[in-house]
Amino acid sequence: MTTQINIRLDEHLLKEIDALSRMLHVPRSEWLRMKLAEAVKDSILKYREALALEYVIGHISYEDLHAALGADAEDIRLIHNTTQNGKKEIDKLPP
Amino acid sequence: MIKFAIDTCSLIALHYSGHLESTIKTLNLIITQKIYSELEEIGKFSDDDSAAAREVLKLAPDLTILEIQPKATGEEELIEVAIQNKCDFIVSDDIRAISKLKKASVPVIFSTHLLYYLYRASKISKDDGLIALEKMIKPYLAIKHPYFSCQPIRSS
Repeated sequence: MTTQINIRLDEHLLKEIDALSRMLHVPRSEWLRMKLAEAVKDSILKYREALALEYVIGHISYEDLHAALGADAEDIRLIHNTTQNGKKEIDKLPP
Repeated sequence: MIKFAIDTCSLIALHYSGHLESTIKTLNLIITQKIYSELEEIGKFSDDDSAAAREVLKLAPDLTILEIQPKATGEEELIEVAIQNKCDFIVSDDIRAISKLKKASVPVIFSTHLLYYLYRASKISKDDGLIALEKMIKPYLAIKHPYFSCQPIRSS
């Protein structure tokens, strides 16, 4: 499933994109889609620990985490839940 | 005394924290003969985990080592020893095993919780605890799990 979005680009940047896509014999939109996907994957890899922390702190939802990290999100939820529950259990013990 | 059934990777993680000895001497940590054998096997190599395993083995006289009916996996043995000995906690950092361990109806905690326990019992300071967590995280980030450092025990 795809969704159309509109973005405004600097004219000079657009000229560069067009030059590149003509050189590569790839339609502009296809080249942009590919580059955008690469950038998103790179950012997820780079910021995965930050994403986990944002989830733990409660700044992003599990759904957001899962959308970014896929099945690894379940591991993070498990670690988070076990950490919280374990802390509660230790807190029950006499000091 | 509170009893903790603990697995191999948690003992190694505690060594990295720099508080293995105080943990072993303060708490009643229970392992199986299989875990002892695993430590011996790991200790034969020459990497950081092997060195850690050898350090754990040096402190083995202060661990409670129990012989139980051998099971197919280490997790099953840990469950068995925890139930048989009415342990208060199972300690494991193996996130792949946690779901199975939870079936034992014994609370499952991470090795980092033992540091938290030491902190609550005034055996270590908060700063010592935070430094220990940093030391534990480094090898886990590099080798075991990219998200391990998300455990927010330091916020408490």
